[in-house]
Amino acid sequence: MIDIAGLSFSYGKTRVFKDFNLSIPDGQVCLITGINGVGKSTLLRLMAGVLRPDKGAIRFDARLGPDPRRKIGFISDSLSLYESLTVSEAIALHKSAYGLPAIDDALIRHTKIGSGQKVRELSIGQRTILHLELVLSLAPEVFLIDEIIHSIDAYLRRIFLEQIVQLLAKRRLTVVMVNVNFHDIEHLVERVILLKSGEIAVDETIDALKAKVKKVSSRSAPDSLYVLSRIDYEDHSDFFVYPFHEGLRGTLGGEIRDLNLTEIVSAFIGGEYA
Amino acid sequence: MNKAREDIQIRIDAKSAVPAYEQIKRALKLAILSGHIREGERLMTLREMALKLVVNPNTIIKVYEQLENEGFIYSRPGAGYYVRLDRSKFGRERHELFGEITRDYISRALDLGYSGEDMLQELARLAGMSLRGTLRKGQPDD
Amino acid sequence: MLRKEIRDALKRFVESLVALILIPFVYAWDKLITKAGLDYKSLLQTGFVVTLLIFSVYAGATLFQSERKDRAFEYLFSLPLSRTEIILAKVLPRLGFLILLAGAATLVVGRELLQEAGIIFLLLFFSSIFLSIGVFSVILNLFGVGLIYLIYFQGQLIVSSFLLKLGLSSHGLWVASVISAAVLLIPFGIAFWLTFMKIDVRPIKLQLRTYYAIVLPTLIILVSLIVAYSRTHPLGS
Repeated sequence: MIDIAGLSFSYGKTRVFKDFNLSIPDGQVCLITGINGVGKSTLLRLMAGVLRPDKGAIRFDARLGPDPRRKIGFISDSLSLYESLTVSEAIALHKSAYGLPAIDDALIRHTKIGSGQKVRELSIGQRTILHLELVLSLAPEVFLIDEIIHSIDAYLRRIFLEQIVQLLAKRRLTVVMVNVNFHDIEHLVERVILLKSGEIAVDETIDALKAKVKKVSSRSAPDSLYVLSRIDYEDHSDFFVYPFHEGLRGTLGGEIRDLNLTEIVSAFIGGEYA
Repeated sequence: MNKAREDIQIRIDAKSAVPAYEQIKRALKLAILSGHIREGERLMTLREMALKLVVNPNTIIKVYEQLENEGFIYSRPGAGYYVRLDRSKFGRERHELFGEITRDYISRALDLGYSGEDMLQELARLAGMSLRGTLRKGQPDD
Repeated sequence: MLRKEIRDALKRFVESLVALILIPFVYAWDKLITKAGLDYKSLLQTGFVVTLLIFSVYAGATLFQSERKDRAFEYLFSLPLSRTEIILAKVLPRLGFLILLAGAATLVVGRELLQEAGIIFLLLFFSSIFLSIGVFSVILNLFGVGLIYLIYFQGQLIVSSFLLKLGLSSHGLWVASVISAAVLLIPFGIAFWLTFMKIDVRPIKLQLRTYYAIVLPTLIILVSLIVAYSRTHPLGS
């Protein structure tokens, strides 16, 4: 369980969060999304203990211990590591910092990462897998992933996601992902949180979101619903509507299409740029 | 445990608003009702299924639970999930699934603006073609 | 973590030793050429002073160098290490080498070196740490160091004249240097501690308030006290 209460945080004069609240239950896979710069990475860093709140607190379940970072696996969007160290030195440092007896390096060997290579010499894919291996070795209760899944190739991405599925199947792992691209992760996610101006604009399960956001193609705007955004074409317009319910089907005078998560989030974000 | 059936093809349509668990459930039901998986055969474990589809294990838990409640599968503790084919329910379930597929089709056709009459005509035409053997699944008609 | 920090500290130490070797070498070369006698003691003394000066600033200024170069701040702060653990792991090896160097200097050259300027190296080290996190520019830091030097030496004189008045002159300069050093180190220590307890990955400029609030006023007060005192009680009599 992650409990964020009354969180306030600023970067100098720029206020990012003011009195922000969010509660994530154990075992949930939560997606945090929003436009660039809205504070998603900042929120993740605050959860990881890398940044400290100005006001308010982020509390974790008591079983994480007095320093929850011991059981939090955090992969930053810059894949932050000591770049001048070799892979084996980096592993040794990680082990001693967390007090781990050993690190399972099966994945590292599988992706042909040499233990004598310096971290900065690794490709992004290799570095991501190294980071993943380091993080998995703590047997984390909470896994925070910032935006790195789509910078790696499809094969490594599948390996990465399979690791997460394995962990989810084995234990009550809470996952918080920050993404702007949902292509492969849509079916892992249970809850979608959209941030807008430092607040939660949307907080729904993915199934509910898919039921409530539809695209209506017609010549005129559907007036009984809230239109998030629209795309105009020569002879018709696409209206993205929310919240939709089944009772409205047939009354909207247009073609109603289901949307995938990318289209749904675009619809919400598109409204911001209008 | 005996070997699980691993060759069941399930594709989840991300664009559909039908929840992932529902799609997986239907695919498995279809496989069972069409005889593709036979009575007594073992399904993949929750974890294997979640890994194969790269979906949240909770989704598979839901699928298996519902399939068990609806009587399609039963679980042997420590030994996995097995297909049960209740001959008496077989016909009814098949009919229900048929109804679901048809309702799906009708609602999508309605959205496109086609009337019931249009649908009957088109169905008659295509059904005729399939009876003659000239229509295959997925093939565009002329 | 500690192992890596010891390795880093050793690297800086060895790099600074270059000065210890080079300067006496240049000095000796100059003497050889002019055929004046080689005064080994002052040669080594100069070498040690310069090395100590260089190392104390270098060791302090490079405290977070590996994090800056390797962009590892986020990783570092996500580790389950308290700020205290991190700072101790970084400061102690470097302080250790500094003391080692100072000890070697004392052994070779005698106690005068440390008595006169020993504490200054400590102060240089601690104030240079703020360079490491980008708090001050080098120029400002050097200016600060100059100010510190001034306060230290004037402070020594003031304290020893007090001790003289109280009739406790037997320990003389030693006690005076320790007292004036303590007076300087305490605000530095507190500012240092408070700044680092709150450090995170935000740009350090945002975290300067503590440092400014404690160190600058203290320095100003001390300088004013010294100036006021020397006006009314001319020193050196």
